Amino acid sequence: MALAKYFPHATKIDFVGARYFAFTLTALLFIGVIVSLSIRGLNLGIDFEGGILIEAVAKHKVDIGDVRKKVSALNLGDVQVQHVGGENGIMLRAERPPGDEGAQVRAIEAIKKALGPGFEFRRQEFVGPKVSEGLFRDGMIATGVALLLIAIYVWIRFEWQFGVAGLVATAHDVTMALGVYSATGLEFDLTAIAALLTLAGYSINETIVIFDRVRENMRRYKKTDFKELINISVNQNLFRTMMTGGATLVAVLPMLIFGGESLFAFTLAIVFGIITGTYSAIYVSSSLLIYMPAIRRWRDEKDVKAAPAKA
Amino acid sequence: MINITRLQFWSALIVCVLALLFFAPNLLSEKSAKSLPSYVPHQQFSLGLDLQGGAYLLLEAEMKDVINDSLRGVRDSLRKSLRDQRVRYEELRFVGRGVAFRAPDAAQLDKAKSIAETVARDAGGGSGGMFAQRQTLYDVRVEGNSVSVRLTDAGVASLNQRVIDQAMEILRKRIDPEGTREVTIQRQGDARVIVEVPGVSDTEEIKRRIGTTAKMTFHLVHPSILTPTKDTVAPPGYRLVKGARGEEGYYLVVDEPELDGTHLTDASQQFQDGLPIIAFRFDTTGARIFCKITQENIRKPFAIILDNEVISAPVIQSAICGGSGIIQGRFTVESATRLALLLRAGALPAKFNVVEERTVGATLGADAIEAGIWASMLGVALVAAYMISAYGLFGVFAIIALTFNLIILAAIMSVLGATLTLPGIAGIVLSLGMSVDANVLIYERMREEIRAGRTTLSAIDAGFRRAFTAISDSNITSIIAGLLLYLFGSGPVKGFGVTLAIGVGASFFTAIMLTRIQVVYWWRWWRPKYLPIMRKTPLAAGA
Repeated sequence: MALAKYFPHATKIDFVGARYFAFTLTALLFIGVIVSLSIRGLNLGIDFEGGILIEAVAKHKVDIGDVRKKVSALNLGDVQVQHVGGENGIMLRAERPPGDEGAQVRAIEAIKKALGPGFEFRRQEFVGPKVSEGLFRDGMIATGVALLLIAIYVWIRFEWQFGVAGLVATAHDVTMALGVYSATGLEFDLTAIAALLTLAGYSINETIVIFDRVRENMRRYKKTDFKELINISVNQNLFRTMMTGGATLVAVLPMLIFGGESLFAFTLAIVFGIITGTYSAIYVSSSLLIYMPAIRRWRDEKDVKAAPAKA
Repeated sequence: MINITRLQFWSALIVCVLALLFFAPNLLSEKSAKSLPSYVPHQQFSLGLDLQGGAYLLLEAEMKDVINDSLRGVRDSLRKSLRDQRVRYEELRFVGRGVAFRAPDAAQLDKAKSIAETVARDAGGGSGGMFAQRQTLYDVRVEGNSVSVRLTDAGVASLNQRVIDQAMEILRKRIDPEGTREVTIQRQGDARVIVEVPGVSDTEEIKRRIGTTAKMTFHLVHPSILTPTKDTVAPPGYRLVKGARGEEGYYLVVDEPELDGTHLTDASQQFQDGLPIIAFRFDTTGARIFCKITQENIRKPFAIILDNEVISAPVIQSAICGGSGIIQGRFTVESATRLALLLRAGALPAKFNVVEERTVGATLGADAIEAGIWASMLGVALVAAYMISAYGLFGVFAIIALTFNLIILAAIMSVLGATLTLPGIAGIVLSLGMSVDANVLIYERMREEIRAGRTTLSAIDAGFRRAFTAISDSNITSIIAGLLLYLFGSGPVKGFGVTLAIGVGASFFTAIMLTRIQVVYWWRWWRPKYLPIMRKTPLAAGA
């Protein structure tokens, strides 16, 4: 049962051997994310923080300073104004005015009036305090429950060790994506939650494909050292992992470049997710299996006496 | 895996043909799709507000008032029944979500309890006929000599339910009186309603129409205190009400209304002496009551109250028995027209506040859809080039499967009437990636098997068989993620979840079935000695 005969053209990179390097890198990135989250935090959108957002476009160039002056006369507290889609467009974000929802409706009207005629209002949103709290909670629940259910599914289909390793790898990718949102200051809104869940799905997909191969190889090479077995599995899948990552990137990249501003943050998170998902499937989840209690199930399956498990 | 049964072949073919049929209406314009006869598929998938422009409003009922009204009713009927049946009581008061009193006379405690139970039962009524199960909103508790009637949690839920049920119909009549706009009104959670109006970017008018309950009541006015001030203390049975704008001052009206807006059958804006007025008609009962009041109160003032403000206080000139009347307030044509509309639609059972609003102008939506479609098509083209350059003929097979994946996705979305949102387009692109992944897994496996020395046929077989578990496991996890987005997400995120779940499901079918049929039939036809995926050096293609 010489391995070389089975995989003469395949790569033989010692991923497991390089795991300390990978762990160091992961740890550094992780610290970076924590630092960024604690210093910069997340730029919560109005979905989660409540507030007013108005996007308007005029037929002429718009002077931001002028708009700011007009709006600040309304005493609405902190109002951010920026150009969007060229010099004719503006986006205006105001924090939630105190008082009930009626105050917000009135604030929107006041802003629109202050801007004066000549503007076409392309987008107008406000999210009340009760709603934004609910949205944030629902978003967090969705992410948490998704991760947990996926882990349970992996546990049922494989073994609990795989479930734990998969969960850690997925959590790793979600954390990294949070880091991207924090570091770039991209708005973290409902769509961001969708992005997080999407990349959680992608990440676990990558991980499962490798786990599937590990399971198959455990049945096949009962005597092979577990570390070696993981190396074999990752190498056998390496081409496919790269190929799929490439295909998904190629499909998403035009969206990133031409998809417009409403999709930019979303696709950027997905692109990063594909990269970290590939990385974590190769390094994090597979290498973690080494530190788990021995997995005997498939090795013991057929001929227990002839091939005692040595993991 | 190389044996394709007749059943498999034909069912795959039927799925594809059906998908094409149900997808086809989307190629037509909206108008011509609507003119299709009903026996052919004619549904198109609908575009989300972020793509076609429109307004999304989340309304929340102010349940506090409804609950307080209900409690006040319970207190009043308790007081009345206790008095009528001569049960001594003291400290009749509100406690939390209930009403409590003490019966100092121990001999009367049982009687007091049974009165409370009757009141509690009657307060639960309202809806439901004789045989319908009456839902009890209240329960009665006796502790020592104190009796309390409390609103239960189920009672609160039932009140919510009733308010929202009633409100949805009234909201629709107010926002879309002609029934021509495709307004979506749906319940969300306990006391919230989502209103979606496509094609509207100015929500001012909508908000004005839903911003008031438009509860109209007709009251008699105190006979002697005609010009009270805001400090006037209302005598028992009377209430001090502020005048609406234009009707400055205060009015002392009889607490109990003589008539209310539910008896109106029609209302419209008209002119009298060049000024806008509202003309209305009562139903038969309303007309009879109105006739009686006007007969008995000639030359006395009368107050028409709308949402706790007096909008008009005319002096009754003569008996009005024709069943119709007018309101002369300080109206503009616009406000009179709106009020007439609100009166026709009926009063809302509670005040509704806008707690979330999202409006997308039509041009922004058009820009978004253009960018989205452009980017998706470019993405598909790039993936096609990528796959064909890597896998040759098998890449072509994969792209054919991928195309059907998109068609099936669009067909299912049309049939379900699912909404395509901008994140939904991103979801499609992502499911394309997953679909390609399945093909990559299969082809890479075939390559491995060939390298391991297998024949082409057995490599094809092993490729499909061995890749199957990895594909199904990974697809199921993606579907889990999609379903959770649908369950917990809201708005565009929900749309994304649906699209992702359907897309991944469809890709499972196309990658396993369609690719397999193509590859197997290709092999049967040519009996090749080698597979096209082996012609290129594998690593060069992936770089």
